[in-house]
Amino acid sequence: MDTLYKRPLRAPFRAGPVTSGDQLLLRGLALLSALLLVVTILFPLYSMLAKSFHDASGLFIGLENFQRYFSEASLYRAVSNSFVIAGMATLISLLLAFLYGYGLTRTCMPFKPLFRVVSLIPLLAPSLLPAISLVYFFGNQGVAKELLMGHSIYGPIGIVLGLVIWVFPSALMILMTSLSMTDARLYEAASVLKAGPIRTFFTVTLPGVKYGLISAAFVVFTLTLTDFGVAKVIGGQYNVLATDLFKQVIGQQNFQMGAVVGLMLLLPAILAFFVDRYARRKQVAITGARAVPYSPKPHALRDRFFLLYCSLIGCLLIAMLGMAAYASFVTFWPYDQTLSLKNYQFDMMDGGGWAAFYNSLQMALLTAVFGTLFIFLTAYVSERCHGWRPVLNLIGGLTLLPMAVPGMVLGLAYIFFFNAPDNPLNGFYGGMTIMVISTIVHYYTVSHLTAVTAIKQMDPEIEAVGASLKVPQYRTFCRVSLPLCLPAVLDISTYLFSTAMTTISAVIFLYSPDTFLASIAMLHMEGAGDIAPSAAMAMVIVLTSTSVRLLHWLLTRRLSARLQRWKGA
Amino acid sequence: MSQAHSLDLFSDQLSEGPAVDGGAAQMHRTPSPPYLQVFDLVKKYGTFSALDGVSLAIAAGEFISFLGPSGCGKTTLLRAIAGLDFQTSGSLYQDGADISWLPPDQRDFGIVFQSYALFPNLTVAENIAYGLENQGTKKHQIAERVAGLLNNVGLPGAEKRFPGQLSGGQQQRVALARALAPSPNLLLLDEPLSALDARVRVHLRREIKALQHRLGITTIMVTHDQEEAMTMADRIVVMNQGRIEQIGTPREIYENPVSVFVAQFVGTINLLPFTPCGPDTVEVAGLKFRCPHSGRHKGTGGVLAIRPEDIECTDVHDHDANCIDVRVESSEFLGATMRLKLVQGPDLALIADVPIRALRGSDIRPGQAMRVRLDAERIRLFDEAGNC
Repeated sequence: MDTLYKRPLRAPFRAGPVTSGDQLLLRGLALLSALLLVVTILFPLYSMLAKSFHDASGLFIGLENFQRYFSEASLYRAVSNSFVIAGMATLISLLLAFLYGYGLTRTCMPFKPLFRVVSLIPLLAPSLLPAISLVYFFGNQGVAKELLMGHSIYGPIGIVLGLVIWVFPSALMILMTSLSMTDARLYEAASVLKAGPIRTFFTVTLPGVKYGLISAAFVVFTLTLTDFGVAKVIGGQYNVLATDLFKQVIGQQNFQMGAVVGLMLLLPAILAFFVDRYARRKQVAITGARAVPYSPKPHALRDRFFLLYCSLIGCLLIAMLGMAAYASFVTFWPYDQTLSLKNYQFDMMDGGGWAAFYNSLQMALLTAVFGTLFIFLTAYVSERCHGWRPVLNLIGGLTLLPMAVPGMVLGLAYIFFFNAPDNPLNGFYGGMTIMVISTIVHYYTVSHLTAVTAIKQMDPEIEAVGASLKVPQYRTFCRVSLPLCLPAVLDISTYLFSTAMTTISAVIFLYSPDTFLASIAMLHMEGAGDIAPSAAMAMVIVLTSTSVRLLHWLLTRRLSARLQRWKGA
Repeated sequence: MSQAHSLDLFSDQLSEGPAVDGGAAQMHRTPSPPYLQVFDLVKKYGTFSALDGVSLAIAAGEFISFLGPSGCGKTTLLRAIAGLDFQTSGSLYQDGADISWLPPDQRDFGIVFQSYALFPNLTVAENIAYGLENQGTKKHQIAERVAGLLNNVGLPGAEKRFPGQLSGGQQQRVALARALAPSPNLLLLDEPLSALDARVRVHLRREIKALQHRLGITTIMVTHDQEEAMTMADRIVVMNQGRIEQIGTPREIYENPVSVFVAQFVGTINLLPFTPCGPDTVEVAGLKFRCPHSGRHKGTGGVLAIRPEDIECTDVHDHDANCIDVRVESSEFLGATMRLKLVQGPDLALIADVPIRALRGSDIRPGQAMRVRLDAERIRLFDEAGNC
């Protein structure tokens, strides 16, 4: 051993790590992100919570609001109604989506890409659209009214049907993920062990998608429990929590009771959120890294059955869109069936006119640009900042929280927080800014997870190499990290744009006469009896979302050609 | 001290430069102050010590290899030297300056990672130029330098290609060129060859060694592959559980391991429990062996170690104490040698590597009786704790 060297005489001049300029910048950004997230998520939610324990004059009254809520049958009735509706809609949509997803992932039926695209139709418009279509099919002057055999579409039947159509793509996406993650080796093992198709289904297929089903169930349950659009259009006298919340706050200006109803919506959503997180973690755990993807073999009977089934569902979805499209061109349903553009003259009607659409466009653009910028940077900082665990953990928690907060609750919380006279940010209230912020926050989590996944896929040593070559990290970020994450950045901005075009729930409490949005205009026109113009506005939204998605598809295709070049032949 | 070696990659005299003569193998024997010094480095993760008081000194121009099983702390040590993960305590001096707590961008090193971490969206030339552009080097100079570096790593003309279009070995060369581009005085290699095919690995081993020799750059390579360490390094630092077990030239490590761990980790070795019996004699499984050069330890017993190649076939039937009669249990043909598993009674099993030349004309079958001699000069004894 020859390591007995004397220590150099010079004493060490520093006692601890020197933070590099790069890390200082990252920490500064982390602090800024955390601060903004606290102000836009934590504070508003706290204001709402506080509101529910105070009376109208601001006096603390403990649980009195809750007591009053549960002592009035008309109020708490909405709770049970909502749960029944959400439960039914969840069950039906899960069943339909599971079969559809099974057809897309586990069979050799033709036209799979087409079916995939068709399944996305409900995402292109606000949840009002399915409800409006249902009115045209089964309403008082509907074309297929007889099919209901005397039952009215206005009420639980209509709400459940509308919700099922609206949440179908969400359920399908989650189920398809877990259906396509199953290990093919398990099926080979089952067939080698002579298990029949039924036994294989119950011992391999179902357990494989168990957590996907749980996850989908809870996500869909929250969506259906908290949706406002469908119940507003087709709910009739049937009271659910979301419409009740709207009545309490906008109709009666009873903010305290609104806060109570808001909590009624928030608590199940938070519970569902934790179950969903748990299930997703389990799902990842049961699919090992060595899993071999399943590729189905042709089976005439099965493939034909699923082709038939998927065609049926696909036709229903197209019919839903088609009926609204057709109705939007009909001059005066059902008396004057000539086609015209009369319903597109929004300026002649209540609800903000074409200005509302331009507002929507502006809001969607702002949301996409600033949302993507902030979300991606925050995700990058939280992944690449060393030390400062408490701040990073705070960011981690706050970026997940929005997924558990229903849009209406967020909007309500924003009223309480930003409209408080003593809040210095009061000036935002009623403007475009607050709507953009609320939309970014509302759809934060999904975007954040997309960004984090992309960042985690990069080689973690890229920044280390940059530092060893004495290149500042912001340069390596711009030249390497960002280009590598460009597909994810595009995904996020498209997602934010299209959701901003269609969202109602959060902004319903936040718009002002100057900042009417297309989706809110739909609501107003429908409420005023102008259903056809409402459908027409929906068509304008659908057209916009479709164009943006098309643009995204084209860009991604070009981009993946470039990525292919980077990856080599 | 400042490192004497020029890293000018375009000088044709490189291989004859005076710096190179002084560098490499003999360097650590010169009394000049070490280029890199590590003092009592400790790295703790909670209660677990990844580094448990590591000290070593590296001379300028040396090729050092950190060798050890996974989890022994070798990569942690390398990352502490790079400043990528700070130590819990202890200090580091590079070229006489205290760098203990400097962030990586304020230290002087180039690094090649196991994954190469090439920027996939930049061309080979852009990758290599990455650290040069920042220094304000002129465009045509950069281009010249990139071409020179590519020449040096054996990839001339690859400028316009993307990393994804290169093979693993070629990517490794680009990563090496990129690390060398800003002329660092210290090169860190983190398991640089472990992601490559066996054949490419052997080839690149020689090339990296030759390049290092040509440039005279102080180099530290982390590896878990003893063959890699033996063939490339001037000195090997064998690590185990966050501590340094032994530092020495490959030959010292192989021939004079200071512990059972080193003896076992580097090469193959027979380990037989012994009890002392008389001067220069020990007893193993009832048999007496002479071991006059076995090192310091006699003590109360421990482990006798002998390499398979130090056991030879013999037909001498004198009563030399180190000759024993054994039976062949199994054999493996290894090309130049035959590896025999030999047994003597139920308690003694040995592995012997016998040169094929010594076995010409004879057929080795399981069950066959044989007489072997354990080279008394080559026997080493360790105490019960596994140390000398």
